[in-house]
Formats: sequence, C-alpha cells, structure tokens
Amino acid sequence: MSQGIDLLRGRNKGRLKVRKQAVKIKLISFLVLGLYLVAGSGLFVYLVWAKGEKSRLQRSIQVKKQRIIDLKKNELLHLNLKQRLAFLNTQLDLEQNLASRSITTLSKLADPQVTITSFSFVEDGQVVIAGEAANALILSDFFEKVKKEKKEIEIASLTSLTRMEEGSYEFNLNLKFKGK
Amino acid sequence: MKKTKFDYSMYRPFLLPGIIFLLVFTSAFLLVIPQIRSSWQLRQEMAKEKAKLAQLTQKEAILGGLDLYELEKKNELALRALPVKKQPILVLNSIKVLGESKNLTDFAFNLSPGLVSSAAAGSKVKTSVNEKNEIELFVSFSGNQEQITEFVFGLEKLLPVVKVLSLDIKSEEIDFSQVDLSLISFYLSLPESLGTVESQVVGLSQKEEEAYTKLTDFKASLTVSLESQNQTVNSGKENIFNF
Repeated sequence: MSQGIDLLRGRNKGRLKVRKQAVKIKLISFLVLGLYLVAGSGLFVYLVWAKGEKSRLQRSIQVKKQRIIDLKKNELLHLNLKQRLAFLNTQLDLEQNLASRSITTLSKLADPQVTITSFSFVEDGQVVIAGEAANALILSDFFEKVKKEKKEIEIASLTSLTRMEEGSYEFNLNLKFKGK
Repeated sequence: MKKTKFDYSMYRPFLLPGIIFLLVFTSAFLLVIPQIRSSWQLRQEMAKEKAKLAQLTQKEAILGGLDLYELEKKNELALRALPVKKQPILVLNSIKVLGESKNLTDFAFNLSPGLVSSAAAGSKVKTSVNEKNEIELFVSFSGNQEQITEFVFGLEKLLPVVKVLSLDIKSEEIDFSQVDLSLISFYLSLPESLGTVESQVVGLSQKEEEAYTKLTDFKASLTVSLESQNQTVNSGKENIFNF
C-alpha cells in the first residue's frame, strides 16, 4: 500500500474548508430559492383565487339584495306587524281582562247591602276599589269573603275605613288579582 | 516583507448563493411583503362579505318564508287594533255602538272643547291626548249591572284596543246605575326605518305570536275600511299598507 505525502497540507486545508462551506451555502441558497418560489407561487395562486372568490361573493350579495328588494312588501308588512304585536304585548295585557274580572268577582262576593262605587285599575293586576256597606256586620262578612277568594284575589288590603253618621261604612280596598 | 496577495478565486463559489440571497430578500421586501399585506386585507374583506352574505341569506329565508296573504290578513287585524294615527272619533263611535248593542241608556259622547267639537253637547265625554301613543277618554252611560258588566267585557275585546282605567258607579235606582268610565285608546305610527336592505329581520317571537292569537278574539263594533284609516298625505310614494 502506498501513501502519498501532501506537501501543501497547510494551504489546502484552508481551501478545502472554504470549498466545503461554499457547497453548504450553495445548497442552503438553492433550498431558500426553492422554498421562496413555492411560497411565492402559492401566494400568487391564493391571490388569484381570493380575488375570484371576492367577486363571486359580491355577485351573490347583489343577487341576494335584489331578492330582498323583490320581497320588500313582505318585509314592510312583517316589520309593521312585529312592531304592533310587540307594542300590544308590552303595553297591554290582552288576556288579563282586569276590569271584567274584578267587576264579576266583586259583584259575586258583595251582598246587596254592599255597594262598590269605584274601581281603579292599576298596572300588574292591582285594583283599587271604593265602596259602602250598610253596617259593620255586612262589611265584615264582605271582607271575609274577599279574604277567602283565593282563586282570583292574591292580596287584599284595607286602606281606609270611615263610619258615617247613619251607621254605614265607607271603605277603600287594594286588591291584587292573580295574573292569567 | 513580502505582501501576501488575497486569493479572490477562493470565494468565487459564494457569488451565486450571494446573488440568490440578495434577489430573494430584495424581491421579498419589494413584492412579496406588500402582496402578503394585500392578501391579508382581502381575507378580512372576504370574511366581512361572507358575514354579510350569511345575513342577507338569513333575511331572504325569513322573508321568503312569509306568506303574503297571511301577512296581509294579520296586518289588517293589527292595524284595526292599533291604528296608525289618533282616531278618537272612531274609538268613541266604536264604544257607542258597543254600548247601544248592550242596551245601555243615556250613552252619549262628545269630545272636550279644543280637540274636536260635537253636536251632542249634553254628553259627558272628553278626551285629552298625551305623547305616549295614547288617547285618554272619559265616557258616561247608564244601565243595570248586567248590562254594565257585559259592556266592560265587550270593551276588553274591542277593536281598536282600549284599556279601562277606572269605573265610577253612581246608583240612582235599584239595579240602575250611572257609570263614569275612564279609558285609554292606543295608536302607533308606522315603523320609521322601513325597508333598508341590509337591516336585519327577526321573526315573530313566541310572545308576539301569542299576542296575535289573543287579538283574534277581539271584534270591531264598527266596520271601518282600513283605506280610510291608513290614508296619509299624498307624498307620491307607494302606500304598501293600502290593502
């Protein structure tokens, strides 16, 4: 086996090192260039697709707008109906029927000698009534009946009671009717 | 001393990679980064337009699902319940017709001076109009208890809708009373923002559906054409509420 003697070892060592580094850098640069070209073409393709997609979306929006304009009458009628029903729902309790309920209930409870002279209908099922009773016994009986009327009346409170000269009584009652 | 000569040929292999890096960085700064920015903007715009399209599709689906005939029928009832403008005379006439159908006597009405005058000077009705889409009415009439109760029942199912505020009963004879009634009637002008294409449309809620169902039990004592109710100042625009 023969072995050559490298007489220029010191100089070649430096050259070889640089050459190796140059190969590495060349490889990296090609890799970067390749990746850059792939990314660049990807971006280009995305941009072309996105622009097409955007114009497709804009066309679809225009078509939808036109369809909505064609349905204008439906929209206007719907808005009007919704507004009115929302108002009726919040402002009026359409099923509460507080006036008729309270008149019917109290006329059922009151003896002929108890006269209800006034009804005031407040919010949330509250009714303020004023009335007269011929005597204390009849009045007490009426209050007892009101107290027992749990089906319709939730709370009953006497706010004023006045005895008149002839022995009759005037009273004011606050009643809370149950919601329907 | 001998000056050592720098060996440029040793670095020649770095020339091409150098040019590649230079080109990549230059074109990246000049071309790619602005394109990335514009693609980002495009992406955001597309997201907005997709949302807009979804909203319009939803609106179209809601509107397309509405039956025009049913909608017109429902609107007719809603407009009878809640007129577009203040109509104290219509309300009072409706109350009067209802009262007469219940055989109430001394049932008369007029409006308080300053608002509308009436020939029925002996009656005891006055109105005051406030700003809350309400007209307050004061009515008096006579009748027996059964008639009064039936009348109040009728009032609670009357079109246009009225709300009884108070009832004062003065007994004049046995089973004959004079009643002073205070009530309010409502009106509601048409929605202000009608028909903007991009505004959202929400379907009727459960409570609104229920309100409509309750409203179907209501009856008008007077037959009044909606056209006369809804006539507005001639603006040259189409009145779509003119059925």
